[in-house]
Amino acid sequence: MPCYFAIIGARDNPIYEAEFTSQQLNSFPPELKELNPFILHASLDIIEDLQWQVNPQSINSGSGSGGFLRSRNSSNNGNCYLGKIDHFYGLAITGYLSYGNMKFVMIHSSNANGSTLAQVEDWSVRSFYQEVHELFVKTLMNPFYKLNDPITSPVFDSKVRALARRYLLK
Amino acid sequence: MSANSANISASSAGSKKSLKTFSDDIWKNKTAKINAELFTLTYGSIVSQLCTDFERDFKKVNSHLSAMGYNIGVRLIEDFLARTALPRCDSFTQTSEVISKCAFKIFLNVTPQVGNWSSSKDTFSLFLDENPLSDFVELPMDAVKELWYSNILCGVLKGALEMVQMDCDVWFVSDVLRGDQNTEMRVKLNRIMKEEIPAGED
Repeated sequence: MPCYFAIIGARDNPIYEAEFTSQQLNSFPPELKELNPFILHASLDIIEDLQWQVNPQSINSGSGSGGFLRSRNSSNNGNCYLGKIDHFYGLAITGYLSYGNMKFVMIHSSNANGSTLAQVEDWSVRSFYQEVHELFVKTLMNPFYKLNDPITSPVFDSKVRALARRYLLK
Repeated sequence: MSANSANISASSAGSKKSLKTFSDDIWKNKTAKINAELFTLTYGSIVSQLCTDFERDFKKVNSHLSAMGYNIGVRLIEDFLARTALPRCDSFTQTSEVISKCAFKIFLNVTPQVGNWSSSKDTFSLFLDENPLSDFVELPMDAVKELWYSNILCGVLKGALEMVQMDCDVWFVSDVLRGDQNTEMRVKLNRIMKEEIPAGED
């Protein structure tokens, strides 16, 4: 299924965007493609709500009480993944929140055009987010990159696309 | 000045193997270590700040980095000799071995490959397989062609060698950050300076 992925900075400014499509699968119809950024930004409010909730409903992994940054018991970044947070005419939207308040958001489209709701495979989407998060941390360590600036590095781009091929486009 | 020539007989660091174990030992026991990421980020912020200060005139940044390195080098050699108590090198070949296997090992824990000697044996290259200065770094588009990111190393070597009476030129030939195959530094010996008595002393 085609996906549209974006990183939104702490000041709600776009940092990075990419569209993942493959040849054998459909891509976004051109008239809907331009709507993607709007759909995605609309879900930012939901992320902000979830961020401060004590018990985000979408975390169904049973990792105990506490929302984002509140689980003292787990030292991993498992609770950054917010799961499916929104849907819009058959598109599913998932989110991931980094500790620096960077929002990673993605629109998943179903194969059939909008007739059925897109299914999200939590496991692979979570792995994708976690690895992108890792790449993002490495980008932050680059002394020439300023926080909250758009990421223009072609290396980052190609690595994210490689991850998308591995986890999302199967 | 004469600290290195005073102990000619003290050390038997002639052969390659003993030089290696010798510097491993110093690295393990005599060197204070800091977190690698802290080190890398500190150097990185210096370079990026210089780029801003010189308004992205990378030629100036290069020469400034080299000048900073020179000031480090002329002091660092004192520390180096105090730690290692190595004797004066007999040949420039030996100097190259000491630089790669001892100096780089002790201060940066890497061992660059020595190679690409000129026919007159006065110029050689150091190939840095890993460069602790440039982890995480990706040069911005406008800097790729001009900036020698690790140019501070050239200055350090030049300053240090000058203090042991070797007038050298040191420069980068290639850098993986620029998309080259390897990172290569070139060291050229211009002349061996005579030990001159400072003016005013008999």
